[in-house]
Amino acid sequence: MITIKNLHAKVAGNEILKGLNLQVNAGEVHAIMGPNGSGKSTLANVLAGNEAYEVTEGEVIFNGKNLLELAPEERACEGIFLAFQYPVEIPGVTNSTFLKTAIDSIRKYRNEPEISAKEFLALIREKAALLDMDNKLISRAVNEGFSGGEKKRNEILQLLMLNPKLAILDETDSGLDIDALKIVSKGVNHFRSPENATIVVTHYQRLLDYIVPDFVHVLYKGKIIKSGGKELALELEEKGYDWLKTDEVEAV
Amino acid sequence: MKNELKTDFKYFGLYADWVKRMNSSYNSLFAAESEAALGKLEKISFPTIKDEDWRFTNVSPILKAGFVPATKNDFSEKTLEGKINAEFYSGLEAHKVVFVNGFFSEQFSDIKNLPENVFIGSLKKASEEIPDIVKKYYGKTLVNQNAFELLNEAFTSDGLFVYIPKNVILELPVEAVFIADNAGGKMISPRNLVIAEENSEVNIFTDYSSSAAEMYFTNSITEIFGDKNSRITFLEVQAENNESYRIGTTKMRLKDSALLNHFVLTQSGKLARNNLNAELDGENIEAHFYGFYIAKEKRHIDNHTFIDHAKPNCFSNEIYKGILEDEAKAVFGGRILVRKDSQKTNAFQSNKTILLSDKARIDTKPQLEIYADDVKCTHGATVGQLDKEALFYIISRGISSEAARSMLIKAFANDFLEPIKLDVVKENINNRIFKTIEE
Ligand SMILES: Nc1ncnc2c1ncn2[C@@H]1O[C@H](COP(=O)(O)OP(=O)(O)O)[C@@H](O)[C@H]1O
Ligand SMILES: [Mg+2]
Repeated sequence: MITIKNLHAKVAGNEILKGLNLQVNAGEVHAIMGPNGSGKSTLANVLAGNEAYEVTEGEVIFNGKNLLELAPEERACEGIFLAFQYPVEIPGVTNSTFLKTAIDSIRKYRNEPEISAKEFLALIREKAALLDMDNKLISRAVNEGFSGGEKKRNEILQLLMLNPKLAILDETDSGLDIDALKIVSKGVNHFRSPENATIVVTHYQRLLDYIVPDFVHVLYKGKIIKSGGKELALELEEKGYDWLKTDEVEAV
Repeated sequence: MKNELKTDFKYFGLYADWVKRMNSSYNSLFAAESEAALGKLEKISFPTIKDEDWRFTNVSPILKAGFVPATKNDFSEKTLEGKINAEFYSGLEAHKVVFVNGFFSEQFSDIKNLPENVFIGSLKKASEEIPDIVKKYYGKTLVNQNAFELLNEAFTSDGLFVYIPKNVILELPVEAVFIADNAGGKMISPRNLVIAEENSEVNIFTDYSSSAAEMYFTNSITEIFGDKNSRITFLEVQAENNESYRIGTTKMRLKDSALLNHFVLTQSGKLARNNLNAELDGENIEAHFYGFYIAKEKRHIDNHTFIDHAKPNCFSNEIYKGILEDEAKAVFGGRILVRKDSQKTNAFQSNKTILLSDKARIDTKPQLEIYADDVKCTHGATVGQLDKEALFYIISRGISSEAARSMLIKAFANDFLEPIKLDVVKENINNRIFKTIEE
């Protein structure tokens, strides 16, 4: 699905990603963990094409295409989806207009006809129900006045509506109580299929009880310093990151 | 004292000539006022950039152009027929009142059956048919008139008159279309008067446009009186051609528990200056002032507002927003006065401008004068580009950057659009804003 090789990226002049490698195949869920500031959101934003982040070295191949050459909207149309750590409020644009425009843009890119209003409504109702979202949120402005939990749920609603090939979830669990966490996880598990893949960025193990990953990676100072199975998350939960940091120092 | 600008100013000698050219249908109510205004005009000068309130707007091109007052002979309704679109807000069922170069056009107007004693149409006609009512209100908001106000008073020929008597709710809105035709070099001086008596309700949508790209000058005055418990919506669209100049004066006086929604959209014109003055002369008034301005190239739009909280317990809500491109300039002057006894005043003011180019510019100046101690007044001004984070958020969902931009602009304009209650009008204004931006 996606192959990231020796990725280096800068933000505001500082090098944040320093040679990151990652391979994600269809059907897999990868968790990326790491302490605050290690570069997790930077990775997510670089993959989604945020211009504030400058790639200085490396390559990313997404389903055979050079991802870094594509504009952000093209990446989305090719099937990349980022659930933002801090979803943006867009007063004046309703959730339904926003999502219908997005779906139609993606369909247009793929030379498919626009979604009918009826089909769209049925789809959004179905997905909102799955996420226990009030129908009222659909006609409200995108994220405006939403609680933290509602915003995260809205990201997952968008994920389900757009049905991408690769979902990158950036700290979708932060700020959620346990009930909301379960609902969000239910949404992600509903999305999972052998044809798509998910990268779950988190710094708590908690989420991984509900979205069980196939692989866990530790990102530290812009590099993946350890990879393992889902047990690694439990180990991190127990021991923290410090034992790895010393490992890394030794390795260097 | 002779004033330099005044000698440039060609109107005075033309007055007698103009009166002659006005045909026989000259209105006596205006004659007395006109002459008085001309007399006063000779004693004061036109504002210059040395006046604090006019610092950012130079009106000397208007004075130097030597515009002459428009007359009824300048156009023919017959040739206009093909050009005019009196169905301005298409699909809106309304009492339509049409003015050409400031003159009422019977032919293009379409005033439906009216409830008893309601008057909608020509101010001139009203001054003949119901002079007592007109006289009771005409000019009553105008104190310490500036030179442009006097100029309007001196040369006005007609304008929109709306009179809604006590307890009448006017079901259909009023649509007033002001069109400039064959107006090159002319000064058009509409004089509008809106009276909503106690417990009455009226919705008025006005539109100023041009039939061709000629240089002319519109110098309008609109007076609005909202008595106790009245509910008034007044929307003005300024869509004149980009060679035209405009000085627009709107003066309002509201009484106890009046509800006002005032909108002004400036979408074109070479130079537009809007002076809006609202006197909240009663308690429990709720008054909303929404402004939206779009300017491109080297155009200039200046909105100066003055909200006078003269009595306690009122709420004023003022939201002016704009989008500037190229080398366009805008000015916002927002003065709010809360008088000593106006306790429990709640005044909100906000001015937000999006600059789509480096050379566009806004000068914004809030001016709060608060003499009461138990009040809530907030004001804020922001100037910026489109929110980059929001742009990325939208684009990251597969939406093109152009579509994302227009989505954000739409979102920005929503504060102006959302309070427009009639869907047909809202849709129309929405389309205009977008068409203007995308042009
Ligand atoms: N837009 C930005 N401008 C400046 N510095 C940034 C920006 N985004 C991230 N950083 C810096 O990059 C580093 C990594 O941040 P981030 O990728 O957000 O980490 P994480 O998501 O792992 O907590 C931090 O030191 C952060 O301060
Ligand atoms: Mg982060």
